[in-house]
Amino acid sequence: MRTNRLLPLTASAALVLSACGGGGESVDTGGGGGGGGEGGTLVAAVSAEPDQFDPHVTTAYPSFQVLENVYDTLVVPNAEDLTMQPSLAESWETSEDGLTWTFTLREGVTFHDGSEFDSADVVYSYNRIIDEELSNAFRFQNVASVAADGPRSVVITLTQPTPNLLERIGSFKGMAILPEGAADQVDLTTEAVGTGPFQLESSDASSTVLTAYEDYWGGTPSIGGVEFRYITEPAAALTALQNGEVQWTDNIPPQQIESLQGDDTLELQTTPSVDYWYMSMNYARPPFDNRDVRRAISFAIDREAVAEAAWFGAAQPNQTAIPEDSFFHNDYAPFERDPEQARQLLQQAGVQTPLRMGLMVTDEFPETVTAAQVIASQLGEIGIEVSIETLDFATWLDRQGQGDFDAFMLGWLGNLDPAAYYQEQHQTNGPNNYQKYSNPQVDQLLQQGASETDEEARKQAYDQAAQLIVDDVSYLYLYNPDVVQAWAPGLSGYQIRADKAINFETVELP
Amino acid sequence: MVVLAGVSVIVFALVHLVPGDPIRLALGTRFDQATYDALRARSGLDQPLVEQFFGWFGRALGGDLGVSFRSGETVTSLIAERLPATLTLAFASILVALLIAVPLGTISALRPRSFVDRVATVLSQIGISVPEFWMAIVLILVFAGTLGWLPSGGYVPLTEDPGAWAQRLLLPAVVTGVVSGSVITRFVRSSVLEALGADHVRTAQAKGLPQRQVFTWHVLRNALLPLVTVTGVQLAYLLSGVVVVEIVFSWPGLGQLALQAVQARDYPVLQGAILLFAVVFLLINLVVDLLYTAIDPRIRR
Amino acid sequence: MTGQPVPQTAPSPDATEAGVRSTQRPPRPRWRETLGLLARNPTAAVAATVLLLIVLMAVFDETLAPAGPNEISVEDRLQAPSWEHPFGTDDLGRDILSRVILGAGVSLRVGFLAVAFALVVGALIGLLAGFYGRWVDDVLMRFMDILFAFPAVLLAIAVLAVRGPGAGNTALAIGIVYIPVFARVTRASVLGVREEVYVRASRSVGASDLRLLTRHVLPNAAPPIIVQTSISLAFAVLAEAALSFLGLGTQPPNPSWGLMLAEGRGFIDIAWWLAFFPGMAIFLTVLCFNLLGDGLRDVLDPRQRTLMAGGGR
Repeated sequence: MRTNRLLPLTASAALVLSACGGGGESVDTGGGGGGGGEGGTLVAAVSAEPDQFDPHVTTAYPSFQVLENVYDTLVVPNAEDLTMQPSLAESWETSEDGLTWTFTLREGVTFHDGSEFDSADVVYSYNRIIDEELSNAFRFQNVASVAADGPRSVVITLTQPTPNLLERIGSFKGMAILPEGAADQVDLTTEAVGTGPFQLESSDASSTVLTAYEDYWGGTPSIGGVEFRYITEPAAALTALQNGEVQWTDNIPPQQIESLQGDDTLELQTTPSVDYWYMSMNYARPPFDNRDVRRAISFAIDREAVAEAAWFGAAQPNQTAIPEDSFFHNDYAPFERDPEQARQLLQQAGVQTPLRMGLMVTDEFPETVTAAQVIASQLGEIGIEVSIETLDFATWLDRQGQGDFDAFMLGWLGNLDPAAYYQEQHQTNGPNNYQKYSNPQVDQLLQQGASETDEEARKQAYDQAAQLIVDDVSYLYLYNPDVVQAWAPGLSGYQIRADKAINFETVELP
Repeated sequence: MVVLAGVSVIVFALVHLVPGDPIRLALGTRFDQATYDALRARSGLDQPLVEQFFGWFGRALGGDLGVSFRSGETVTSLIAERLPATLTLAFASILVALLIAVPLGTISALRPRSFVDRVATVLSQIGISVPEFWMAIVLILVFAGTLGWLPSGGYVPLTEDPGAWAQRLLLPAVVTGVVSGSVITRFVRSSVLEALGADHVRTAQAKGLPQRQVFTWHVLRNALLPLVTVTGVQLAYLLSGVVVVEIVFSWPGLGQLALQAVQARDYPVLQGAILLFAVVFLLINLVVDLLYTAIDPRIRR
Repeated sequence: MTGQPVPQTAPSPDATEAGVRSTQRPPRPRWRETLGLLARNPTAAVAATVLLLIVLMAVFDETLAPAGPNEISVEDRLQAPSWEHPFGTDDLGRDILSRVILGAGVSLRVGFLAVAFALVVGALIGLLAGFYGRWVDDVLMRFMDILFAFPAVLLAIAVLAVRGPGAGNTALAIGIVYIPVFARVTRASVLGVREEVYVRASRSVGASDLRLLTRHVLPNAAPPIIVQTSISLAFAVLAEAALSFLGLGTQPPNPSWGLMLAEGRGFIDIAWWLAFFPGMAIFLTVLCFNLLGDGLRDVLDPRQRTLMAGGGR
């Protein structure tokens, strides 16, 4: 799904903001959506309402939960290891110099409006993103041109080798292929014309309804449709699942995981996600410009306790960004909790304790509020008085953008490629380098990683960059949480994914 | 009208005073200057504030409340989408409230300082003092969780499935109804008491009119006036969205819409919603005034 | 949140201009007598005592609390009530009893500040409007109407969005919401007093407006305002809880009852004590303020000129 972009805005199960209601049609209330097979509707409880349905414009996770089932991209991440596999493109070739990529498109694909899919649709969709400067335009940074070469072939020309091009165009449905001219013909904010397994039927303040697309190129889905019902309260979503009102939910409070393991009214699964949560300090605000101070703070924090507090064991503490299951994982953990050394480092830096530090968090992501309280108490032990500032996300982003903070905590979600994990956050003057970190060596390594086509060499570059980032405490990495989802017993064909893409194409009702 | 214009000006000023940039927010954490500029120009936020206000106000008078920054839908359609849920809950709550308040208040006024009166007074005090979100949570836990009798939340339109509609409406309507009902009970009690002591009632009693007739014709009629007022007030309050209860019960009402709009800095939606609330408030006041004239012959004359 | 105060939308018989019009100068409220009467009302007396205890608890919170409010110990999380932790521990292993005790100060402080603000501003506006009448009345009360036409919740939320969250701003937001209530009560009460014989008499002997206001009008118009204050305190505590529940009021890790309730909500089916005790604390405090307000009303304001209770509160 989304690469490297926080579910922003009203997305997320934020305690307060929350979208609205659950409910919706109750046609299938009472289990199983009509006993499975043809015509049955799966009811999925999600925590928030999609903001809109234009895949190129929205940045909200709840929208992509729906769009995942409606649109297709040229390539998609494999459910198992998230490597890119064919979708609308059957195959692709790269030129010797790595600057020209030629994609061969699948035949016999039709859009939900009946029109045939061909190369003009790809060119149109990509150029729409580039020309209108839409949210994902940055993904085409290195792209010089997108051109059709006959109806079945698309050529992308690059300005520099881009080993992660597939990830850039396929990691989530924000890079969806629309039919040519779609934006002028339909209102994409409320309607959808995709090539995916389901069509958008209707959407209101309590649910979004999809129906199976019979001419789907991958074969008609076995269920008749999906209803995404918005249930803000995790406890309510869980109750709804247990008494059969819904058959699937991702709105599970982490504290319930343990008690639900043995519950036979539902099936619960967890898998490590590709998300990471971190804290970052402002290099423009003394004494946080001092490497020793940042390292002292890093030594003072018990990541186990933070992860345990926020996720009740459903998160892996990690001192770098990339989780263990990834090819690019780097087993580097130099900071063992050590308050004594932390105090020494503070002294060495000439810092007077108590030192006051503001820690900016947002109730949009309640785990930041929980984690911040644990961090505050741990830093209190080494003489740093943390004042937690819980802001709404709009104010939070504003202050982050203006550099008006001592420290903040947040996460990056849905990352697939190491460039997405590190580049924009740590490169000097990178667009998301709010902490104002600058290390020429890191810049050079990141640059090298971005264009290196040999996987091993690429991993090495990122490993070295990551170590410097961790040592300098540009980000103070905390943990990778698990994906937690639950469904009705007997529901089959559903696969829980590390990138939190939710795909009901092959699901069969009990 | 003056009030409406005043409300509009204040809303507009307040909304734009709020720190936080809707465009920045729409981009999520990933920032890109070019995309930002493009979006900002499209939203009209780069225009001078005064111009924005008059443009908006002029269009609002014609019924065009603009387009949501967040969803791209028109504000009127967003509001229309949520209006049924809000109306349903508000009227159901008022019904519950009156079913509680009228009998309870009347009985306790008829037997002041009796045991029944004391119980009723304590009950209404409790009803007013319970945090409604707490009551909501406890009810969900008991009726949806432990007993499993009712769904834990959500909304189903009446036209779609009356059974499910009623099931889902029950708990939230009881929560807000109990609170409103407790407030109204106190009004009913005091106004019935007052009416009982009024001169013309005593005269009627002295004339030897049957108790029942005295009660229905003289007491209830007089007690109706304050009841209408307080019911109107409660209704206005319920219609402007009981945000907390809506959140706890996943009820897709206007309160949630407005709260979301604040959080997302979705100026057009927020302005539209508050304007609507103000109109509703004034309309209810008008209706209450009209009812007054209808009920109270003194005012009619 | 709660907080919709009762507006007197239409000329209501018991609350507005039609106040008592005796020709006799009414006795000023006598404090000792008031207290005596209050003491004879058992409910009000109990409520006052409980409130006093809560206030004492808030004053001596640090001494009384068995543990600090923010002593986090993740290993000890979610423990059921026991001798060691009478109210149990929360999701971060903090002692809930201590947090409830320390939360009293937060809730009461916000409540008092909010009502004090609303009282001072609202009573001043009501006094001026009621005393001077004519255009002063029109302008001021029209402005109050505008403020009143806002849904209370949204007004408070908007104020907090502008000013940022936190205890002080929460008090301000709640205070602003309640200004019109105090303005209306005061105005109604002043109107009832303005034309009294003794006021006219003082005026005819050439007393200045200031003297008239402070010596004659205000003291005699005070009873309904006092009753309103007690009732408003109840709603202010509820409002603080509701705003904190929405994440806009008191900020973590500070212990506020509303915030604790919000945090405990997600644990209700595995650890009921997280939300139960703070909920009880709010309920009890609000109930006592309401009962005390009722008692005061019986004693001070038998004609019930006060705006009773709150709308949706």
